[in-house]
Amino acid sequence: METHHNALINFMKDKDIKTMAEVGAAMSKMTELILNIYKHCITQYWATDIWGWNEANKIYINVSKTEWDIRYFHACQLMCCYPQLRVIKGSALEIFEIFPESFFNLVYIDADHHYDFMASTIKNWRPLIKTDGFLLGKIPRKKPEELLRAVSDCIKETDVIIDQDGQLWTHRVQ
Amino acid sequence: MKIHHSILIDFMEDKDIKIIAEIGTWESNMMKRILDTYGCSITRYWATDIWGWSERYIRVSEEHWDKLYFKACQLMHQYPQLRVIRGSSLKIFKIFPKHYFDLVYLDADYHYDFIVNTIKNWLPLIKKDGFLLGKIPRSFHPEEILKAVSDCFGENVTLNRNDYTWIHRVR
Repeated sequence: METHHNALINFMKDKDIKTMAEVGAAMSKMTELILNIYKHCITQYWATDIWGWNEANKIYINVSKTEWDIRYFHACQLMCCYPQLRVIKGSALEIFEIFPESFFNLVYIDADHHYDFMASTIKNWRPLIKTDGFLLGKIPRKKPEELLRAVSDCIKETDVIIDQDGQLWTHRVQ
Repeated sequence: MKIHHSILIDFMEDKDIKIIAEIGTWESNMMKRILDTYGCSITRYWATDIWGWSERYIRVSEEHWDKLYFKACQLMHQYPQLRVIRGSSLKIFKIFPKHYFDLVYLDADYHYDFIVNTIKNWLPLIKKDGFLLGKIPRSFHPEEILKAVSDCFGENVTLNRNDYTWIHRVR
């Protein structure tokens, strides 16, 4: 299990998370892990990803359209196993409009780590989270500065916590 | 002349349809009508469409397709049974286990090869005594559909020419 998966699972342990979104589901590993562990408390899990080529995500430059389709269809297949799961294919910068305000208990972001994307995603998704809900994201090992700058420009520094292993940033919506 | 939404709703009236797939959701009108009418008995409604370029909708822009797809996704709030998949029916059939659906409704590409392949791929996914239904378009290649259906099912298909539908019961 990757360490940020562990970090999120631990973070969720003592929280009452019923409705959550994952922005950047990609291979659906996190989706499956969380739904296996928290299937009795989560009522709605929205897995989202562009599942396609993205200029900003150079780590996926060699992934073909066919491979992205396979990943997307794998996520869709999980909807047969997990009744709480809904899958949406699209950019986080567009699909946030699908949701009403104050809808989620938790939104987890692990998509494009560049400044503009992160800042816009935070701005667009934060209003969709209930009071006392959580917005959190993965901190990439390589070049985390850009992402952390976007987080600190969007959310007051004192309202952001970085976990002790430096895997996650978390913000509690007040 | 009845519209297709009403035809399918009438057809479903005395059937115990719990799991249904719609191939070719387009503007989500059929899905809404069915879920408004039979939402209490349907446990899962899979709305599928390529929501992308096709010969039939040559003037529809990519932005408009995205809009239609997101509109379908938004309806997942209103209808908890609804799940939406964007992709060709010739690929997404692999997602589902065999003998899963009570009914599959086909209203997508009307060309011979597409219909034959869709029938071939989706038929094993339907339970015994379940139904595979399709629309016969009034103006867009009806003869191709009729030939495809007859090549796949022979005599084991009901053609409702007045209602512009074909129905096959899985045995």
